[in-house]
Amino acid sequence: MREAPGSSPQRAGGLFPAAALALLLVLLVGANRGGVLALLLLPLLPLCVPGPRPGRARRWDHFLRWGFAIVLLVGIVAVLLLRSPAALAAAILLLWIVPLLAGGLLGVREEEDPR
Amino acid sequence: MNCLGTPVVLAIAGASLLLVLGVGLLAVLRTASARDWFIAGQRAGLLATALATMSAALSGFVFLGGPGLAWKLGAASLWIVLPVGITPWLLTRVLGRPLRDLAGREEIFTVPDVVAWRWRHRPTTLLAILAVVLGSVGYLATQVLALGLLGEALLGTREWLGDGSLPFCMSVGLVAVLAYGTLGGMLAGVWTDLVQGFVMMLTGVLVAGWAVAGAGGPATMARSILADERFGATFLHPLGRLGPTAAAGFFFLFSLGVLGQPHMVHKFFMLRERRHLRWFPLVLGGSQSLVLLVWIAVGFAVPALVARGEMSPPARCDDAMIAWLCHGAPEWLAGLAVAGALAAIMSTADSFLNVGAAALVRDLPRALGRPVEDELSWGRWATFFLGAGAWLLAWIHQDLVALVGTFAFGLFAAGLAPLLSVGLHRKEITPRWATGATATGIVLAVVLEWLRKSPWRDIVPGIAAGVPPAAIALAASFLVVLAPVVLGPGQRRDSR
Repeated sequence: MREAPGSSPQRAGGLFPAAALALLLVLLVGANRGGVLALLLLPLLPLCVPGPRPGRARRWDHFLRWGFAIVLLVGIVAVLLLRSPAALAAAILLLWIVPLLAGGLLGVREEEDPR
Repeated sequence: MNCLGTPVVLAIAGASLLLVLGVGLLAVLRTASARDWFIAGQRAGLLATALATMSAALSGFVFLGGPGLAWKLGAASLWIVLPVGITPWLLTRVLGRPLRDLAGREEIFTVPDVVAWRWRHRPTTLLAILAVVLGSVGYLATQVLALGLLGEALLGTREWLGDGSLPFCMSVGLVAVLAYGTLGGMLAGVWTDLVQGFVMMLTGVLVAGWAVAGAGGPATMARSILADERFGATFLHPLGRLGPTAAAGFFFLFSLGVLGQPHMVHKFFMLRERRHLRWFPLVLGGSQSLVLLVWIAVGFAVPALVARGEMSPPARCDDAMIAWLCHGAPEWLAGLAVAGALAAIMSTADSFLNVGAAALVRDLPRALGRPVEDELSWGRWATFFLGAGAWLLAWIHQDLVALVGTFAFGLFAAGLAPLLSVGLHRKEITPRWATGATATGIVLAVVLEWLRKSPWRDIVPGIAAGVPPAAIALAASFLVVLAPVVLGPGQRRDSR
């Protein structure tokens, strides 16, 4: 076995396993109240992305991941609270267009710290 | 359906097909080595790689099935589309850098190559090969059947060939893909994907613009849908016709599931320079979004027109796109839409021919300790046999092929996404855990998909509520691969 090519210096975190377990249980049970919980767990996905870089770039990576998580959370809450077609507009804007532009313009930098 | 068989439509679709064939055959002349054939000589730039990824990822389902799904589920169908907001960033961030670097310094051509290099463990590699071969044949069968059905609608062959019409059109479509896929491999695939990507984007923008304008604009469309009790407010709400659990399941599957799609991941091996990753998410996500406009625009234009009594409801969900083309699109636009759908189908098919052939003639013999000497020649033969196998599967199980396509995405997702996304970053993932995670994903994806179609589907309430079985398999596979990360130091000792 070789060293992982994208080895992360990050310590073992329990966030992703806990989120995956909660999602698995909710998806298996399938009750609607649990579904709301599952939707609220989705914004955790960007926080669980492995491979933050070392040094100052690591802080930028964490900033971006939290940014993604917050935008997705606002989008999911808007979908849950708003009526159609405002909920549809919020979903397209906050779950599609804003993350797409943020990820495309800021999301992947090479080793330098962009700040 | 016969509205598509006009000279104008045939001429535009035929010209697009000839352009693709010409570009593909030109690439054949440049294909000299296995490196050219499997990873396009690792000379592809940003635009070629990103558009090839987009056109391989978006199949004919976007043009034909997407508007149909929107007709059936309304805004809830968008939970399959919305992940496009994060998947380009996710794919590039998690897999782009390590895979591009790996392919730059090692002889890495395929996803099973990566698995073999990382773990040097035969069972893990064989399971990855199994997932790639099964999924590739399934996806290919779906594309071959889609080519046949589109060809029938275009040429009107059913009237003069009867039952022989579908196999005839499937054969013609497959031969066209094999013509450049067999000889030119991935180099031809990337060149043709570039042309097909532009055709798909042009089609997406023009069809969407025409559909929205023809239905009176977004506000009028929304008012028409809300005023009709057949649709109403639930149709336009993202959770209206799909419960929150099922919506979460679709979003989860289609966001993290892309990390296991070999036809997308494979494109990182071809990238000439690492710096191209900088703008990769923007080009990939932007191009995907332009094509996906078709899904939203036609998907909401049809119910708006039906609500106002200007159009008859489509007989079947999957007829929504063709019904709209026949209702309100000029012939040149219908021709472009057919060209876009053909491009989407063929670009996905040629990617899977290459990925599947590489698994059979390169990965499998190497995993068994008997590498093939002339991989280029054997790869071409394997492409031919994969195409023939997919044709047979599509012919024998016509009614099940759409399900096979969905199942193939889920199989790749559950079998490979956790392995690649976590396994390439965490040293704690030992061969034992890697094998366990892949086996869990593959077995659960198969068993739960079978359960979903069986009378016992209520055993798993989530599946009865509409959660895609592969989402459950994906979550379970992630739990297995993350177990050594949670278990901690003991597992790290084990990994050494």
